Amino acid sequence: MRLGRIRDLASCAPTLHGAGCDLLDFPAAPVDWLADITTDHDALIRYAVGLRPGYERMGRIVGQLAGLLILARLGRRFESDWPMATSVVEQAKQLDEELHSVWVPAVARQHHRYILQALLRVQKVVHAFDQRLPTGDLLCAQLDGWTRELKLVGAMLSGSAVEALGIMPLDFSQACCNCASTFQ
Amino acid sequence: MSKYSIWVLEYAYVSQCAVSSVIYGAHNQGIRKLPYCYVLIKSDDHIAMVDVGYNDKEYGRYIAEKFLVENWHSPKDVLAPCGIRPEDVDSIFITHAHFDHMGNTDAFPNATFYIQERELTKWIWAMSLPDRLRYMMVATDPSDVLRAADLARQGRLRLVDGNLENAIPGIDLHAAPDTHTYGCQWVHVRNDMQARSRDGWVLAGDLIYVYENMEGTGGTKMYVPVGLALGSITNLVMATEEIMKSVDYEVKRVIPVHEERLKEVFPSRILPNGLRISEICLATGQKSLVA
Repeated sequence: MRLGRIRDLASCAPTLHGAGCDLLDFPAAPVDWLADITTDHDALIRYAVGLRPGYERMGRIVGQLAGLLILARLGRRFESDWPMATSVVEQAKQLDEELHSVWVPAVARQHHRYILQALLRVQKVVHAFDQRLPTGDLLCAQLDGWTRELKLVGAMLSGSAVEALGIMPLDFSQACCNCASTFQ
Repeated sequence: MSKYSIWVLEYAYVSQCAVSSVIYGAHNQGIRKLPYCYVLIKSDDHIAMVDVGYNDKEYGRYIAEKFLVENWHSPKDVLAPCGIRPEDVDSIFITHAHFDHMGNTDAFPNATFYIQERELTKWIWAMSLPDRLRYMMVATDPSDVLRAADLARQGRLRLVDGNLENAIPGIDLHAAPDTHTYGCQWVHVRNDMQARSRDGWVLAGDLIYVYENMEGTGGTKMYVPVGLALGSITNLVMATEEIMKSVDYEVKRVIPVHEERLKEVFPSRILPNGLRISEICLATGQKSLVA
């Protein structure tokens, strides 16, 4: 286990912000929850195996939502019943079930609570997609708010990454041809 | 009269890269150095780039440790020998959305980014697929799309649908759908500003890694595609043909940015930090940075 590296990742989320920074509301990541990792190894692995699919799904949902926001803003072709939008609503429902059904050992409760906070923020944006959307300037204002919300979730996912347990926002197992070639 | 100067700027490298990863099917043929680069294009009225590399704040550092990428330097350091700051860059052409090409958009606060709309829509699709199909989003970082959403909020993202002439004067973007990725594009600099340019340069992104992708191996004079195609090998080969046609089949005018031998083909300088600048061409009146 590389606790130093894990803490690097967990602490990479910013804690100081300029006035008006989008990440001002960013909740602090649970840095110390891995302190007992050597004494509770098996439980953590079980937790990680259970959490990982939902954690990775959340990253992909954030990516999809971000992409949809771009299309909505630039393409002006966004409708909430667009197949891509309905697909992301369905995935968010699955995500909720996945994350709430994870077995959580005592040592990881703080981490899991943090992930659930991120989930709530994702659901806030997804729920808005499920409603009748405004148009014109009102829609732009909504898009700004949702973009900020998704940035927060992205920062929370980074802040809760645990390399040693394979909980990472980016799957490097099949990295690009340059990187994969030197995979150790 | 040449309007633009072009430099290929190395920002990191892998010392020992398997040849098979850059040349399709070249298994058990050893290793070679693979530079990581982006391209600076400068005229009197524009400072543009092709791709932006990745950042070293979070997962960039992880990549460096895990995949032996060495000697990463920031855009600020890499551009400094050219007398350019990241804030000076006004236009950036993203060839595709892999993290090592579009992972450092934050470093360029004043630039407008150009990317194919298909690249974005297909990544949204890929991210919606079940876990068992996640190979389809290989090397894509969802947080890069998130950063792109923020660029759109700031009015600094332009989605391109197919080919685009004169994205900035004399520089065309060409779509290469379903090749290395779903919505790749390559950049054609018409340096004489003529529609049928005789002074054209192509920045090929990852459609072409090295000279063998254009010339074959062992003197075969046959296109051999790169090692990764999310689209199809056929599309990659046909995109290579289109690229070569645009420069009248003059290999030297296609710039493979991962090619270490660029330093043998173009005037180059190795900086004290071990990174290379290759000078592809100079605008009229521009002094050499490598002489």
